[in-house]
Amino acid sequence: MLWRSVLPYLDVSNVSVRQGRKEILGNVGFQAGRGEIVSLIGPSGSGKTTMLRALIGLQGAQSGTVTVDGRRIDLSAPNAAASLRHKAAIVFQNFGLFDHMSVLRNLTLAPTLVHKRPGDEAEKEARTLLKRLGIEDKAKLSPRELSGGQKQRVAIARALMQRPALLLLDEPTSALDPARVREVGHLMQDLAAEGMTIIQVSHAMQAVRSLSSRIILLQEGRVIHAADSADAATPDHPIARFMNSQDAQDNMA
Amino acid sequence: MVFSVYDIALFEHAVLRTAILSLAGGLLGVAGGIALTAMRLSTVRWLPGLGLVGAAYVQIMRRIPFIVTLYGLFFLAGALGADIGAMGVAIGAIGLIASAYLSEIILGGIRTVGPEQFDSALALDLPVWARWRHVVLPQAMRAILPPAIGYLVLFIKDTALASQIGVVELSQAGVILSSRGLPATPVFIVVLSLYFALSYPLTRLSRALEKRLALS
Repeated sequence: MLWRSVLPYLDVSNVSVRQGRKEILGNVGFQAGRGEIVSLIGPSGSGKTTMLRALIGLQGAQSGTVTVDGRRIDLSAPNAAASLRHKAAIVFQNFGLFDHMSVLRNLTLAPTLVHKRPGDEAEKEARTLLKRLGIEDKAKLSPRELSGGQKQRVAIARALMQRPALLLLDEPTSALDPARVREVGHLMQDLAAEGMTIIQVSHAMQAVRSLSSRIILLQEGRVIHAADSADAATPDHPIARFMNSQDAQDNMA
Repeated sequence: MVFSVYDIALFEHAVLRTAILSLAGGLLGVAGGIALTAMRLSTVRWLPGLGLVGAAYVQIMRRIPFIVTLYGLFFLAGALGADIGAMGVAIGAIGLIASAYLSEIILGGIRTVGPEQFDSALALDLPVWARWRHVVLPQAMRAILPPAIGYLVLFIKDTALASQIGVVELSQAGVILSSRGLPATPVFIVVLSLYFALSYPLTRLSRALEKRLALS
């Protein structure tokens, strides 16, 4: 189909979020192709996480549209949250796993309750995913018995069970040691290669450089620069300058 | 010393009254506590005062002595000509007070569930009943059950105050029997044992439930 090749797979446009009189996001927009990894970066308070939460309907927006996989969603419409959640899934920074149920149940809860998939089928899919992520032996454990890296893989598996068109990752590497950071990076690349579109918010500039195909720099709730990662890598590009300054801060810390 | 058939009948009557007061008052309190908590958590836009009303009720009720609520309801029922009997008044008063305390306990328990759990449940698009049934309540119950049951056990003892409006419950039966000339020590040993027999199963139930929650 022609329109699929012409229109971007994901088109976020004119997203504005106000809380009281304060503008959190002002006319934020960006695009992503299918199977692309896009990174939202920017200083603390720039609105990156708010943007991510708006994409899954956890943050209401006064205006804006999200077109994903050919479906246009008006963010100010009353059913926006439900529409977004049909298309997107999120992995939270703190994972947000349900500690009172098994890893397996974390994965099958929404598919069986919301999408009405048969229990045995959902369980089979869940086990396949856990196996792929190398944690099939943890299925019966509570998430609280797992390490940070394992928890994150459970959270990613739970998100993938939603069969999302769009995977949102909030600081996917912040809770992990360097070896696990590389593992998650490989996983993200594998998923992208299979056609999963991924939007990540990250402070880890090394991961942003190595993984993203596009980088969006936010500041005070606005997109101030957006570039393909190759362009953003040239030393005097504003995005490169921002990332280098972040590296410098990290080295000092 | 041996109790006569009449003494035992009085004990039977009294222990039944105490049990009914505790059970009916407790159930009313649980239902009221849940309703008040729902009011206080309500985000219904066209009823913005609901949360305030619930919170005000809880704050006021927790500051009124039980005996005052009891007399208040007793005279109110009389003034309104509502023929609900002394038992009805006592059960109502217990329900009014217990709702306020249990609402505090339930709300406190729900607040132990972190915001990320609500976010996760929303992001997974779980419908509202499933968010409560599968995510929030199983976790909140761990924080709710021990104080809630502890509170109900305390309340079994407070049902003794119903004697002030003429209900012959367990403690009143003790008073009646000893005033009839029976030796007070054995009479009150029986009263004490019966109170224990009423509240102990509740404590056991609490432990069993806590164990089950810890396993799930």
